[in-house]
Amino acid sequence: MISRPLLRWEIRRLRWWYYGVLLFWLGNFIFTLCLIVPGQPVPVHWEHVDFLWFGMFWAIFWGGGLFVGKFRDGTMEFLLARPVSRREVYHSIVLAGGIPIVFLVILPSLFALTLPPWKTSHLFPGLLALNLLESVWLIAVFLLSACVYLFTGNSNRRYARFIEASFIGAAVAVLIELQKTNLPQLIQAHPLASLLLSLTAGCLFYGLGRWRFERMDIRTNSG
Amino acid sequence: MTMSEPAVLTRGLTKIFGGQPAVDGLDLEVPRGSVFALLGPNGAGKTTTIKLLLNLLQPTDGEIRVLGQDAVKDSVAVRRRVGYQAETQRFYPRVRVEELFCLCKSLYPRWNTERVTRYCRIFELPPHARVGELSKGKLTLLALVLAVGPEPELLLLDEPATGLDPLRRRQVLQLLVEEMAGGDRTIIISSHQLQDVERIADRVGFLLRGKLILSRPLEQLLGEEKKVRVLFPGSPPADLPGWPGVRRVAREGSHLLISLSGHLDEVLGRLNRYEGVAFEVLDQTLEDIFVEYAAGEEVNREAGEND
Repeated sequence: MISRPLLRWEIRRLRWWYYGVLLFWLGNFIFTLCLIVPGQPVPVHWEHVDFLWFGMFWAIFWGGGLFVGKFRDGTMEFLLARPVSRREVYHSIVLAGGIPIVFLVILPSLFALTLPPWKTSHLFPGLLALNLLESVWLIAVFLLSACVYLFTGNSNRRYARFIEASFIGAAVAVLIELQKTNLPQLIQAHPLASLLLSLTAGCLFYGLGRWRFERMDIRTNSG
Repeated sequence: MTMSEPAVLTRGLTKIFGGQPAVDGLDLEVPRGSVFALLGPNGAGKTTTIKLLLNLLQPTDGEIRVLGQDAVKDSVAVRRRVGYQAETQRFYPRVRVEELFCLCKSLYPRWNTERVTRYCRIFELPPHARVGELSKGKLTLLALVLAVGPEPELLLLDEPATGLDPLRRRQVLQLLVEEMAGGDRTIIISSHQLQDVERIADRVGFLLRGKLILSRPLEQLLGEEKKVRVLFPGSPPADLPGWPGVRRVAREGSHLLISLSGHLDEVLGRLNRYEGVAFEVLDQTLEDIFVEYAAGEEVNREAGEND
């Protein structure tokens, strides 16, 4: 199911992105800590350190880019000419790409665990659960993006680029709409339904993407 | 699986891209321990065939067995025993050569580090260099080293000498000869460098528009494919194109050029019956035969289309 050398390879390939995520998060963390008045028992409101929206854009663009990049530069052919199954390649790419997205979202609340109680806001336990839920949503979006690009990105079909551009446009529009309705509050209000929905969507897109990847022709695209 | 099973066996192999067959009902049999040259003009289906053997492309129809295993169902097991050099070399440009070796070593059960190091030395491949810094020729050599590293039972080489100078080409051929000396190994080579092919191949297959139009041992091919330049004192016999072995009759000035596929003695016997006829038998190189077949099939196709 998972080839460890391949997963290590993919993570190594993406290490600069990992460092980027860490740096981004660290910058925000330091900024938040700067807001604390020394000596004052003012809690840090971790709900404000929310990378959900940043993570969404990341999931949309990275989900497809990880796969399509490999088709365009020909490295997918290099990988699949080795004795690894397509399923193992799919899993290693999805895991290597998905891990930083999850971490991006849940790291603030995980870090808050290390702080003394008087520094964290009273919302903290609920916040960790909310972050976890959000990360499941992000993974579903990431898998949807991968799925769209797998169906369009490895072909010279006339309308492939149009479909990709439409997908990005539609996804961004939905995100803006969700932001208006305040997605975190929506998820918080219906946690179980949200979890079920995101898990179902995630499983569906994972299955579709894998189905497509295991059956597609591996051809290097010129453009 | 038995050892007598051919290295590659395809039956009715078909691959269609956008309604056009790239490989069309291909029945290919490559015996174990042979160097099989897959020849054909551009777009004949050579690269597609090689990619089908590796399951990089999914066959539209037909059966593929590689080293006695189903190349579609057991593709991972097949690739464990197969080395592959692609036509165009595309690696991770920012990765170092040694990192690629390291990855391959962790994926193959029989990676031969010693051999890889030796070839790197011979080909002057710097292990610490980034792949993106290598020249086209060096990339070709790197691909070749990666292909022989896992000690494959079957080596699939798609244009292995692309971008190489004559010295390096010689070295590559030497490498292949060495590889063949290592036991029951099979090489399938697709190349337009026909002189190189002639040096190492022992069997040749011609592909044209996805169909295998010829598959024969090289020695037999060179022995049977001849041309006879004839000068008839009068008009040539009307049934000449129908003589046994005659594939094509072309006019060359006042002479006729008869392309033969076997039956040389019989044709010469018939020619001798004509008084005053003058002829000479011409040997052909693999390149001549390649051009002859490709051109001949083209003529036949055009004639078929006109009918």
